[in-house]
Amino acid sequence: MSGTGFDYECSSLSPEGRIFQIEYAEKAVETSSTIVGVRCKDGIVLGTEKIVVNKMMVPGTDKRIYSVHPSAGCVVNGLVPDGKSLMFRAREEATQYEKMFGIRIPGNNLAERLGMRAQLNTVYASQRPYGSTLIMATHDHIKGMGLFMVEPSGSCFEYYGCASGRGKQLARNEIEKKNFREVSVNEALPLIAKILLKSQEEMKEKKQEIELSIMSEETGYKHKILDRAFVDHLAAKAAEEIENEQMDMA
Amino acid sequence: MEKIVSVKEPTMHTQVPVNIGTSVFGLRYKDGIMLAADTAVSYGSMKKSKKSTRMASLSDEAAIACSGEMADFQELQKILKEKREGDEIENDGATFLKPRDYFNYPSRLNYQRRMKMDPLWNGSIVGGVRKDTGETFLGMVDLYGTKVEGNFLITGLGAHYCQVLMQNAWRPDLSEEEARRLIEDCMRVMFYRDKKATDEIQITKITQAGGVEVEKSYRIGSEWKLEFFKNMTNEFWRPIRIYQ
Repeated sequence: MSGTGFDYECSSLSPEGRIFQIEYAEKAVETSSTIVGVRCKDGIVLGTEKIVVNKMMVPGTDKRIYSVHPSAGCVVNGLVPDGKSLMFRAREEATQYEKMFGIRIPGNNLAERLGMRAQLNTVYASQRPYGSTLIMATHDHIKGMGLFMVEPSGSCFEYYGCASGRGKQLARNEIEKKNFREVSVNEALPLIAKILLKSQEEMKEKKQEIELSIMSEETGYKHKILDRAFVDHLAAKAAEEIENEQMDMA
Repeated sequence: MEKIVSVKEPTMHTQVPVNIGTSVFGLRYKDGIMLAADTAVSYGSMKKSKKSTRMASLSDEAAIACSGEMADFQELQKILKEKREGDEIENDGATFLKPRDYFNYPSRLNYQRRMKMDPLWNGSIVGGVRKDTGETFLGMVDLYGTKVEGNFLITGLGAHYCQVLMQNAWRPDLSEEEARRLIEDCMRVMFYRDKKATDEIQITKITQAGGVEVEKSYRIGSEWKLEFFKNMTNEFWRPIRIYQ
């Protein structure tokens, strides 16, 4: 992609009507780890895979899933610090809203505000867009559960299932294939672990980790990041299954 | 000489409590901690509400009972809730959430606010039992930020009327029944003596097994047919005074 001078800042459109800086930001997202969010029968599952690049890094310190308030959580990819900054913004918005109005912020409002924030970074020459996509699971007493994805361009939609990152296409296909809305969260967890591992096929030689969180009826619609031991167990099982499938194919 | 004109300062509404709850009680007993308060909230001498809860659970192992300005109590609850939720979503393994912390935090907060000449007008008793160790905690914080820990604690007017009652009757091995009776006795004394108290009380139990239980309020009986109340007070005392 060459912008021939139109890609230095995102305040100007190219003659074809594109903003290259946004496309570059999307590129940063596309080459990074896969994140998925899936709405199930009784809750929402968020997940991400990641490659352990540095052997000397303490495991469990590279977190990608965060809670925003007790019943909202998000997962980010791309430039993780960018995503984290967006997440902190979400926390601020949530506390500020609750202070002002006395109720927890509705999920769609929160997502919308994050979208606005992300969009704001695409209109000034002095700023660059966020280099990360954020998938957020929320629950409120007005609209119930909601799953939202905020992209670097600032677009924000509600989904039944969404994915972003290097395995976006594969993950999306898998999610569409399986009707997750008929499946409970506990049943969906191993499937999603499998999708995440599959989506990083080409990185297979490197050490891989996955991270999962749920928000379901069982947890009282509280966002709960699953503990490492359980997730590692799920991942090991999923890896085994994938290997078996490949053996059958061969 | 020039006359010194005293400038009247503007009224500081935050420095005057408006809706007031009267004394609260807390004591250690065999199984854990018991907190008690009556359910009245007064606006001056008028009882604005006779059915208010003046205690709240802070986590599954700590609770607070508050006397003084009720709006400030609600604010304190909000602050503590925000703090707790903020710590919970951090999910970093570090916890703020032990009963003693729920005591230290309001004390620091109250001290800070008092130094700003804008205190939270509360006397609060915080009680808790740690789920892991079973260690009990009972502490009292006043509007200056003073911390007091003890086996039985009373705020407000109750500290003047019931301190000795508690001192005489309290033992570390009080059963739940005895603890309840002791608190009811104290509350009855307060109902007779304190115009801002009612005879409807509420108790919170905190135990290692059961966690925090905020009970429903109930009425303790009172007896007004005593000779002392029937006659005029002065008439009752006059003969005694004369013959002394």
